[in-house]
Amino acid sequence: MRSIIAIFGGTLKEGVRSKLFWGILVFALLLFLSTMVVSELSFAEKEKIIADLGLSLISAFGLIAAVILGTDLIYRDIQNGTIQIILARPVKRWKYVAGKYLGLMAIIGVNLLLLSLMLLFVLLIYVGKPCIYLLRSLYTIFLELSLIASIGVFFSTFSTSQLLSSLVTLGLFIIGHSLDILRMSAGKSGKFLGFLLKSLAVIFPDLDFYDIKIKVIHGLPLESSYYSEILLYTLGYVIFILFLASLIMERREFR
Amino acid sequence: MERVIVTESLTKIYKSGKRRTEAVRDLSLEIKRGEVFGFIGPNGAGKSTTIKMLLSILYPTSGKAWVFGVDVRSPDARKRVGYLPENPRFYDYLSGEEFLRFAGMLAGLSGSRLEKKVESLLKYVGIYDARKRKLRKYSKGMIQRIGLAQALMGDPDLIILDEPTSGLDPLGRKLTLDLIRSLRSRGKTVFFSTHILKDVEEVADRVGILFKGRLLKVFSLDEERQRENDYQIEIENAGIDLFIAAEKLAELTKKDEKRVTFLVREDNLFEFLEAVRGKGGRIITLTRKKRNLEEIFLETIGEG
Repeated sequence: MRSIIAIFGGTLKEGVRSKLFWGILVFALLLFLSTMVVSELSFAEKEKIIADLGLSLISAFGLIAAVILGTDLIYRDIQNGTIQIILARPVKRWKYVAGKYLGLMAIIGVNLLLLSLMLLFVLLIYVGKPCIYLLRSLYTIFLELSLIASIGVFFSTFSTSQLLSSLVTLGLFIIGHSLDILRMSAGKSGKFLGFLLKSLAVIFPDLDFYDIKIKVIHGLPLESSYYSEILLYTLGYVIFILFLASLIMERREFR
Repeated sequence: MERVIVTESLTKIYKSGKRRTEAVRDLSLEIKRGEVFGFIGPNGAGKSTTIKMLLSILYPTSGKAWVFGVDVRSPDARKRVGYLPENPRFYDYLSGEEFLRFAGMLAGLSGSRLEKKVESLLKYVGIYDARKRKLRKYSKGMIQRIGLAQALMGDPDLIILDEPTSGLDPLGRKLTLDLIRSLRSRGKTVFFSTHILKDVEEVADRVGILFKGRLLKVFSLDEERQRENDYQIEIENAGIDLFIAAEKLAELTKKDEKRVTFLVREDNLFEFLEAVRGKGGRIITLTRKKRNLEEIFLETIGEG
């Protein structure tokens, strides 16, 4: 357990001090300020406009952090040879993967927390009330990013190109949000292609499941079991993906 | 005496498509407790590959290895081991102190024991004043020092150092060699690879010469030093009688059409000279042989 905590702590410290982390925050802050300008130009309710744009920005910047950091952390340890001093200790490789992933989730969590505080602060100034109800949407954004980050970590255990890993992870994110199209196409395709598309639609996590932004902003009802179901759904995928990543790490050699 | 490292026919073959590169072949070795073992060989000889197999960073294609009697495939084999890789790179945004804390936790330390160890090691390797500085601002020498410090975290009984002095300034080199001496005096086992033969001569007890993946020779430096009392004698007119007489007294090292060269131990010198005179040989040169490690190394890889 101590090795997981050590790797978690090292990853978190390294991550929150990186240029990427601060770059995302500064850029997001500038865009948040621009949402205020956009809301001024619109006839619609300012609160809804800022909340909608703000959540979309948080989701987008969180995605950038999850994809880039997710595909980078283990990859960089391997490239720099730092992994060798870790594995030269009595550390099981699955614990290394777990520590890295938890560290990554902490970085994404801190990132999300700061961005959320910015959004809630902007809304407080503009609307004059704390829009705490948005936390529900932030919760699902965090879970979705957890899933995306695990896919990034999975690719970083064997890929020789971080760019390629990032692109594939991003591709899977897009597919995950297009499963309806896959299912529809499966119905119209031939036997083999139809089966393939249907299988993909079953295997891939349905990322639309996480998108509750509109419902939250407009105060539409959500089933009470939704929040626990989506947590279990995410945990199931993340554990399975990290299990595969650990299997790959177990077999990998580091020259 | 306890055997700290044992390898049996350790072999590593790298495969890349149809290409097969034999990095290490049939390496069998034993390192005993308290030894400082210098593992020498030119670049690409397979030194780092061997070390990485001992730490399970690379897996052998065939053969086996044990550290403290535990199969190296088990993480338990690394419980009492500290390792410094070649050209180490650590986490850029961690400070020296934070990095050592990280390494200490991986070595199983915590609480005040960890903090004390971090402080003492920072002082020991001479970078205590730079402990708050981020590692990306450290010079190469300082990185090597922090690398040594992390290898010593947890007070390991076996310290494996891969090219620990390469690229270091004279002060850094002295620190590293002094450290190895001090580890030996505390009964630790040190296994280090290098291509700097002078370093090995200074600190090693035993030496292994690796060339093209094969362990050609393992010898004790003390024994080799005793051989410095050997004499090299070049002779003309050496007939078959002389060869028969010399067989038990000397080692034939060179032979051409006119001359032969023998290596004779000091104890046998007079008896051998009598034999040469008695059998009609003519001594051309007689020189006291002082073989340094470089000569032994070159001679060995020449044989290889």
